[in-house]
Amino acid sequence: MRNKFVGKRVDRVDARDKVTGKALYSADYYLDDMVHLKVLRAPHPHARIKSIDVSQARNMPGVVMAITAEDVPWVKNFGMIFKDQEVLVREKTRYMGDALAIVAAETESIARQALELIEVDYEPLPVISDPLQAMEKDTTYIHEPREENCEPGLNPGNLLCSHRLERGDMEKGFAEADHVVENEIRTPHLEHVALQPEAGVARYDKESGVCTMWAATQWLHDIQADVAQALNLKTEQVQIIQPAIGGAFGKREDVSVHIIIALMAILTGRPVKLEMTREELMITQNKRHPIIFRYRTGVKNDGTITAWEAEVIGDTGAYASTGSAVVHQALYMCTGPYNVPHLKGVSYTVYTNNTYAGAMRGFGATQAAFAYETQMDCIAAELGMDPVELRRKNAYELGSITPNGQVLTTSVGIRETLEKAAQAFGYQPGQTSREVDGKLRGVGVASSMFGCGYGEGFPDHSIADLEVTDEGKILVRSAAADVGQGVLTIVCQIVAEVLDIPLDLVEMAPGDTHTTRNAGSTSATRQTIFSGNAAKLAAEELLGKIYHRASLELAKHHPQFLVRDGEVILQGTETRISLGELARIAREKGDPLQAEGCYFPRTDVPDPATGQGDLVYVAYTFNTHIAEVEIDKYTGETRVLRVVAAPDVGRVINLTGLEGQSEGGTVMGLGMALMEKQVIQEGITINADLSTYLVPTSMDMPEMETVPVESGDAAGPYGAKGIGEPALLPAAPAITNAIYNATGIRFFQIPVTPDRLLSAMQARDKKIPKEGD
Amino acid sequence: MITELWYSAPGNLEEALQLLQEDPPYLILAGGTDLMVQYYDAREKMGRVLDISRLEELKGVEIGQEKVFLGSLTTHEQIYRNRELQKLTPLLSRAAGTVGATQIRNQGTLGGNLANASPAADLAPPLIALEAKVMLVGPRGERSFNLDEFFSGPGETRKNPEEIIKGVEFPSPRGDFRGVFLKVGQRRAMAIAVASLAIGLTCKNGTCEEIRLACGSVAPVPLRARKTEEILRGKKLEELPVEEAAGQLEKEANPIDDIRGTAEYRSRVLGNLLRKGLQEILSQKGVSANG
Amino acid sequence: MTLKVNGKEYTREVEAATRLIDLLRDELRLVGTKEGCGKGECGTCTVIMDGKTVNSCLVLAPQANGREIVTIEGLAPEGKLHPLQEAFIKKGAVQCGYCTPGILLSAQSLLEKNPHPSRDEIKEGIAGNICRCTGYKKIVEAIETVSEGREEHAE
Repeated sequence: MRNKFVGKRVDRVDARDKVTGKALYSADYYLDDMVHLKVLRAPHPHARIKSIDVSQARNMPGVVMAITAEDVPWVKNFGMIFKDQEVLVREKTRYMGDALAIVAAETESIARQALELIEVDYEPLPVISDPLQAMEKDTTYIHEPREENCEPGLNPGNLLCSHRLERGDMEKGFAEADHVVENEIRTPHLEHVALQPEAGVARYDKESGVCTMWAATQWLHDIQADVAQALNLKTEQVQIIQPAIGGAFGKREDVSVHIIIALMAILTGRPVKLEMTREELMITQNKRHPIIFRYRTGVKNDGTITAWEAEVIGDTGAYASTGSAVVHQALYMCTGPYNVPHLKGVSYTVYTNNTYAGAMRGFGATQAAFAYETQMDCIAAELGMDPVELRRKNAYELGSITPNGQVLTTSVGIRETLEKAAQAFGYQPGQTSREVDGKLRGVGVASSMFGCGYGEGFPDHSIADLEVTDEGKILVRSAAADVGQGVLTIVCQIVAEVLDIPLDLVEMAPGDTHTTRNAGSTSATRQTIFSGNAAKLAAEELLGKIYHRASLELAKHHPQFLVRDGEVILQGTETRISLGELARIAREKGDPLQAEGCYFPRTDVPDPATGQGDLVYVAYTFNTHIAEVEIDKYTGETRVLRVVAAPDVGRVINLTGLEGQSEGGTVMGLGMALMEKQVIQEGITINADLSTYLVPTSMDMPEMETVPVESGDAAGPYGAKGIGEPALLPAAPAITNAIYNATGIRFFQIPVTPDRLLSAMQARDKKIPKEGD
Repeated sequence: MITELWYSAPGNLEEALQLLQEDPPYLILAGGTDLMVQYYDAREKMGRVLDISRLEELKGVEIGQEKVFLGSLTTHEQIYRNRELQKLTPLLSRAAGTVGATQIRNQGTLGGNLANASPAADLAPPLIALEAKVMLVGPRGERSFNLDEFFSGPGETRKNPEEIIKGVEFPSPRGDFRGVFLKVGQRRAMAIAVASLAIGLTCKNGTCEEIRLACGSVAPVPLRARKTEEILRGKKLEELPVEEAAGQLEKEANPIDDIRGTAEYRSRVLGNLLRKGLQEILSQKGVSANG
Repeated sequence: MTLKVNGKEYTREVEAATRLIDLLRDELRLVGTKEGCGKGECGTCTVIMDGKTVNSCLVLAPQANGREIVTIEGLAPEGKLHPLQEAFIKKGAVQCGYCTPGILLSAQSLLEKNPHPSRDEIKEGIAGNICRCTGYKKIVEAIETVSEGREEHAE
């Protein structure tokens, strides 16, 4: 049967509110009698706090309250995986974003001025900004040492964790190789630049003991739990209502304003509002991990990869956040979508005094994709082989084994992505640099893999509830966060498809910890698979209930009914009953038309010694980009002219949404390749604004084309897989590989700014032995 | 205890000049695109603000046979979109068009761009190349500076606090004048210059009769490259010593390292901008080896 | 001070340090105008003032005295959609939506001055509005649709 909604172009369910300015984001909420909060951040990245004097701030007219850790000794630490972050710092600061004091005042301006009256006496400690230095045994501890987790010879206060990967026989693998390619590849601190700054509004109801807040998050229920535990509240005492979310990309996976606004609403007894400035959130909130990859790859003359060794070191900054998971994902994806018979790797996640790093679109796999696609391009150059051909030769197929030892049994579209991208681009094998109008042009390719869902045996599920309302609409309750990627539209499409009703009869209830159930996070490219499947299961059950109720009411058997367009039709007759009416009858009879769907697939915890497991991820999304760049020989400026993307998504659910993800990911990758880097020197960010941390503008956008690959047999609804993160993965390396193609210069670090490129081109022309980093 | 901002918007120039003599001094606000950024999280610290954006005396564009006058409050967008200026002084139009994006160009003014005295001020190099004078008005009347002598350091000019920039004036370029403006940024819009170069060249009988070179973001102030000019002045267009000049220009620059680029890059790219710019000038219509 | 917003006149006493964006949001509760950076770098706070787009975070409220402002709430009459709004929905030019009000106003202002812009002119017209979600393609296409639609009308 042909789909009515799935696979089509569908308007976003929230688009009308967004184009009219009616959609309410966190800062758009105003409560009566609200006080404004401001937070005093650390004066030094690593310092022992001797005293904090807030007395002058407290005495300032208009200040309602000013507190430090001393005033709230009962508040507990927070953090997504490790509870290593303090709400208010007690003894020492570990990075510039640490909170020292919170001021509540009648206006934002008073709160801001009051911060300046707070006196902090502190003793500076050595600042550890380099992860390699942090790992050394003698370096100052940033956190309390944990000898039990530490590797011999490494720093017990700075090494958060390590992970291992091993399969096959490295000696044999390298013995079979004709060439060994060795490189060190590094990625920088990056900022998400979600356009909406972190903000929140909260109020506390003394009678019920419930603190209600409006503050964006990628995971309602996890943040709820963290706020509750930090403030010694029962989970149900914390209610988070999801506002519209102005972008996320991983930025809103961590706690930002949530604990502070809850705490201050409780302490002041008044509604509170906290809005972070762009500068504050760039310094305070999570970054993309800078990761160092040390690769050694063995390859035969014909291009067959025989062995791959990897050392991966990730700088998680002052706190763990999701760092342990990010860095080991970089390890687990470190060879890309290529068959590698013998492999060995180790990863270290290291504390420093830099801004803490956590989730950002791709979660370690983005950094890995830049690394392995740079490595693959180096191999192609070493062998004199066409880069597309080298990738096709080694690409996964059904039966291939991932680095984690998972045998791929469904939906392996990597080869097809290479073929489709090459075809759509008009790729010519062996293409070398061309000069057009005095500018150098080159073409680059990159492919990628991404494991969807948390995987690795981590509990991962989503629940969706459906109900037929008396008006005959389908009300969907899901806590899945729509950060702009469009999951709510996809959920509605699926419900409409199963129930064969017009999309405008499907309505989403707002995300709310108290009225919607856990959908897991909007991360790990999991919502289409997880919440999509949950909605499909719920819709199928609801359809069954509709048939059941109709058969009772009309005294006929199921096969005689047709459910369509919001009605139950008795086929071949004029008899029909609207879903609304059926819902009223069902409710009166005590069996309302409601259904629940829960998707909770199994995955395995990999063996910690080898990283091997049978079923590590529920699905893998593959992608290939081919990019063309143009370089100004005079200035070193790079312009990306064209990018073709061929994502393997299993099945397209919303074509417009898919293209939107792909195009957005491409331009984000363009920024990563050419201009983005948060410069943190000795723990201090020197470009914490959008005039020095640059992201692409409309004038930087290339011509883009997206050609989806559909195998139709992946684990998601209708055979779909996720695309949010994989859309970004190949973008940056395709561009840097194109720069190599145009100039012969290999960059092992990004971004490739005009000054780096011009200086490398000049060194090349003068034959000075200097490579691109 | 709470600091508050004091705002004043005089209705005419005379009133404004009177207020400027008061103590504590006023901060002059025109388009606000620099000041509002500088004080974005502490506007009350601006103290006393004198909003001159409504002063008719500072508005207007006059393009005459002899001279061009641009009022201080002329916005970047007005300069960019002015069709007469596009024909007469494309280097100035192009420079104005590279400032920020539409919103910033609608707000930011010529006077503000010069008064803020950023080494990266986009309008300064083309105006210097056009031999512009900056006209000041103060309690003791008017005075003017050659624009290349107006800047005294990053954020500093020779304007006294009680003076207001009235506008700039430059000789109307003659028919054999050609100019280019080139700017390197880290992206293609909303970019502050990593380096920029304006070339104004007057040719006669196939010879470079007069040339002015002015650069941005390569010295503490917008820089007029006089020594490089000397190398090019009086030479036949077909025999311009481009390499020698580019080498000299690299030396004449005095840049620093910052977040947008290294000093080394800035010098080097400046030489390249000259190479590229002279090529463009030679290919411009009306300029050929035959004059 | 007095100003006209979306055709309606408002008189308010404001502190001089108030910015236009604060006046619109905090006082008039027109929260469709968003703050993204406070430094004129992202364009989310774009409004049209006396026919020209400005970043409302860079305008002191008193500077808007006597001026006429259009915000996203005034782009189309209540309950109706402007052709640009319809095109943004149909073309998928909206994702998180935070940049959308500002971009719509930039687009509106562009088309007022230049009803049939080229693709490059469209890109230039919205270059002051950062979008982190869409990669801009669908936004440019949506604006193109409206521009082309106008042509059909003219013919």
